Amino acid sequence: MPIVIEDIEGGITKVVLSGRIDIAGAAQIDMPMSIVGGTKRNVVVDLSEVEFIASLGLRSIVLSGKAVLSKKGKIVLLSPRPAVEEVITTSGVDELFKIYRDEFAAIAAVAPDPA
Amino acid sequence: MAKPDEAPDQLQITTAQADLARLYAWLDDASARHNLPPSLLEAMHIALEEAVMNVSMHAILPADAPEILISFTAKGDVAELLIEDAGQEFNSVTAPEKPRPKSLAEAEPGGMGLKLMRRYCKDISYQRTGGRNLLTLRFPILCCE
Repeated sequence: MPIVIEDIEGGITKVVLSGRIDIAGAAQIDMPMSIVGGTKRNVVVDLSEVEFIASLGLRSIVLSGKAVLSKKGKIVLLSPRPAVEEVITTSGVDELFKIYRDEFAAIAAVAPDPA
Repeated sequence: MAKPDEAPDQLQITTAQADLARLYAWLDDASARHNLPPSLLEAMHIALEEAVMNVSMHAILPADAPEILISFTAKGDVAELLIEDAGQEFNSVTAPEKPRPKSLAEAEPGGMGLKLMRRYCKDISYQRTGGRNLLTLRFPILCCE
């Protein structure tokens, strides 16, 4: 399964995508990403293990991101490999999500605001 | 008479998801026979996924011709993919790209693929012939080493 969802401390959810997010991979992540979008508000999407992504996989991430945002939540991307980052940049998705290289910085960026 | 490296490798698929997912392995096999570099294969995967998904999601294929036919050819320093279908006319060459959204809130899920297809190909051409869409994607072989 190319997606693992972890609830880590501080109310933050880390979504780890991996392998090939192609037509078959996108079909596998669509539902879990939709659930994340519908239920989580502080999300880091770790792309460091993604070997391939194209428009279908990006579509799934964007839809999930929009759902998080609609709840006043926060979502960022973490450590895409160069080839994956090129796809993200070419498609314009880099203008929709902040991309972090450092996991601690990514977690800090989506941390819930103090009450 | 066609040379061996000019004989097209072909794949015929329907829009069923399991069928669509076959295109990468097919392309891997075809490009391996022509010793194409991995970086080129990556570009071809990205562009072909978009081309085929456009047909699958938007073309409305007729019941008596529900297949997508993909042909691969390597000629000299150009690899070529021809995607044929009998669906509604759609010209990927002239179709306008959606403007880049300024924020995630404004973003729509579609519209990213055309940008990717155009970026990862050397050249794209389109013909509507005999009620069929013929989309040709060309990739330079030497520049991607």
